[in-house]
Amino acid sequence: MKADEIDSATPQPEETPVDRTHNPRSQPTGENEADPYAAQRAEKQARKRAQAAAAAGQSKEDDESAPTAEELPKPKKQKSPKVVARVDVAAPELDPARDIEVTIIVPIQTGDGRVRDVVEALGSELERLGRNWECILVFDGVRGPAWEDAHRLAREKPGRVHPIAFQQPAGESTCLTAAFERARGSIIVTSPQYVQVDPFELSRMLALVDGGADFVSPWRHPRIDPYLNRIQSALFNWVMRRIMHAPFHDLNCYFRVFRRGVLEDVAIYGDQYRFLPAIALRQGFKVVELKVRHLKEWGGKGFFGLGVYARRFLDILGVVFLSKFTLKPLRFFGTLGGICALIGGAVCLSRVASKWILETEGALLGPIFMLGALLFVLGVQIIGFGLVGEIIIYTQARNLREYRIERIWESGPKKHDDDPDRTAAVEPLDPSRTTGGDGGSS
Amino acid sequence: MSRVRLEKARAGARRGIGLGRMRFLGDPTALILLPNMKETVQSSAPSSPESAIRISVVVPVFDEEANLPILHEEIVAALDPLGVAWEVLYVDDRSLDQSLVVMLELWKKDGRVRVVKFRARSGQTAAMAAGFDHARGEIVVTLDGDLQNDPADIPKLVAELERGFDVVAGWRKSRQDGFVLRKLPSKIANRLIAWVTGVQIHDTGCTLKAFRREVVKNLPIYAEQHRFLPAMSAGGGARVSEMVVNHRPRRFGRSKYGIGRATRVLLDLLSIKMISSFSHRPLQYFALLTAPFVLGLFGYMISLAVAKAPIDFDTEWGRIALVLFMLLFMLCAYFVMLGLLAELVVKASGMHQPRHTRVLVSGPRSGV
Repeated sequence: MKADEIDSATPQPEETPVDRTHNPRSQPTGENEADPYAAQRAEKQARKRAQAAAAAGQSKEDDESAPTAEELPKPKKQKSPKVVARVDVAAPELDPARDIEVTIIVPIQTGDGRVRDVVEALGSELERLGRNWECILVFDGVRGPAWEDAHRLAREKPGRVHPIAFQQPAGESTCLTAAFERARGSIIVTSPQYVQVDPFELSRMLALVDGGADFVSPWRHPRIDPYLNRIQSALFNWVMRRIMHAPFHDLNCYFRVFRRGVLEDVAIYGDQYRFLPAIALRQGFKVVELKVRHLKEWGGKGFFGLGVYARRFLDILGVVFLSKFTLKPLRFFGTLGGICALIGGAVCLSRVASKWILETEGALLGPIFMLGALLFVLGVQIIGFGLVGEIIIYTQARNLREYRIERIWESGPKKHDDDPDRTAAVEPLDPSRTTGGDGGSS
Repeated sequence: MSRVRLEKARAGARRGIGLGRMRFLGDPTALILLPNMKETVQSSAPSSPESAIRISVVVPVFDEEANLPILHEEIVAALDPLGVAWEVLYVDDRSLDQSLVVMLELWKKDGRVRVVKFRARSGQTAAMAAGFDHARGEIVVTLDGDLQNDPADIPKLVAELERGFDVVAGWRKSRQDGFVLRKLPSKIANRLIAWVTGVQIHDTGCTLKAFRREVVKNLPIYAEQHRFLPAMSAGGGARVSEMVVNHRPRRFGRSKYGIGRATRVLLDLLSIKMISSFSHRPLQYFALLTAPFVLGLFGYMISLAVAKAPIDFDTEWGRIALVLFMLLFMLCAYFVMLGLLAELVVKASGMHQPRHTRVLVSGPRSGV
């Protein structure tokens, strides 16, 4: 991975406010000089630390939750479960009790997951980058050696590794949501339960996030699995690109980096974990795809069995339906049903016409007439379903806000002059975030 | 008719009951409008300083960089002589040109400007919904960003509203658009909408409309429904009026609409009728929809009887009658079941519960 590859490996996202001249690999440790946002970040951290110190001074026994209160408005997250004890860590600016910047979330589906490998590989890479990190290991209804390993890790790295577990398997989406509720970092990294992608890629992905991207979706390139798997995966991604117009090449790779705000706005459930980049893109987040180095692959080889393909097909159908027709179900059902009813009606009428006008031989009530009549009835029923969908949406419209506001400039700029905080909130912090994205095409 | 069980209304409303159409709009802050009552009763609107703003102008903007400065000047020229507090909300639907920059310049210069920026492109209806959600004025006026509407019409619309209406829609009587592509389809669509919804508006597509805030604040608006706003608010009991407004040819930029929405308008009509007239008794709507099939069935039977033979299942016509009868009966049964399902949905949503309603008596008001 060379510096100039970043350009070619970033396949033209729609709006890329990414500073491409900035190469994080050339200065892995002294990254702050190269990072145009480092000054802002450092300032923010310093301010936070000062506030934290003040809070700690006020209430000694409360100082575990107080320092993080600013970035954790929800009380739920403060009872981060496995903070066993606070011990002084070697690097004082990377205190796990405060200023967590990156949260690694690892959903674990099997008891023999390589928990230790993942945590140590990603953790050491983040420490090398000077990012304060924590890791939440979500056991999806499984235990086994990985569970014990996770607890050993939690003891070895107090305040950094938090194993949590579901009693029953709940699916990756639920794992992610549960972990997110406990996450303290402003940047979330999700990883599969083994070291799938070269941890060195983290620095490039984080640099993209620092450069203004909200979501970095990986693209394992070149892939190292069997040929058959690659073809299946390519087919799946091709279908997604066609149908969803989501310009991604590798939705099946879960080594993702994104801002906290993405999950605050995108509620995922069921099997939508896979489609997270596409859903985030539709919600207006800046999603960037990045070619990453693939290390190894777990899981099945060859054909996966009919059930897997059927599920995948239903996944796509569901996601496409929800993303395009959530607020107008009658558009979907009505078009489908209307076409059915039209074809059915036309078939019936043509039979009647040929019988009466052309006086053809044979009975009118043949199989074709029956098919046409059934098709007509089917079409009208489908329209009926669409109407039920409409009334569901009408009654729930307030829960399904159609628009997402990025920002409001309130009236009266002169009002805020005396209030520095308010001014900061009103003035664009970074022109490329607010206007650059739009100006990119002009 | 749309009479609702009167006992459900709050005691304060009892005197006005039966004077007009009323409907639960179904929301914690929804209203029951009792349109014909003459005296003005104070509604439960809070008298916060924000309510001092009289008129909010909502302008959905998509790629209108050249039009915006002129538009803003015209708005100022139209509203300043009224001598009331006003604000203008520009809602940027992810413009691709420099519209946002222009809006921010206006925002810097004029303290009455507010700018809302979407994170993803969401369409004109969403932009208007955002405007309604954030408007502070007692009267909300929507206006296109393309200068085809004339802001000088706003005072007229407001005056009409103050005569005692809740919604005043603009009517572009002399439209400055192409005939085949714009005017003719729009004419047909408007006739259809007026016929189906029963709200006689000549020009539903005109963006220039004035609303009382109470009417639109909690109207669920989504999915390209902005042209049905008068019909939907009339379904809630609002009094709708219309007024001829000026319409000018496009000066800068290009039109964002084209032909090719005929089927969409038809489907939208189907759902708007349900939402505006049957939202609290969908079963009736579903039963109504089966009427053509039932009638067709009877017609077929009668024609068979008139033609000659008693229904003999050994003849081909008899068999066809049997098959059609079965299929249509199935269809009707399915629709009744779906209607019941819809009743369940409405009930479960809780949107028609009495505790979710407020009472408003609209009528001529003393100005601010």
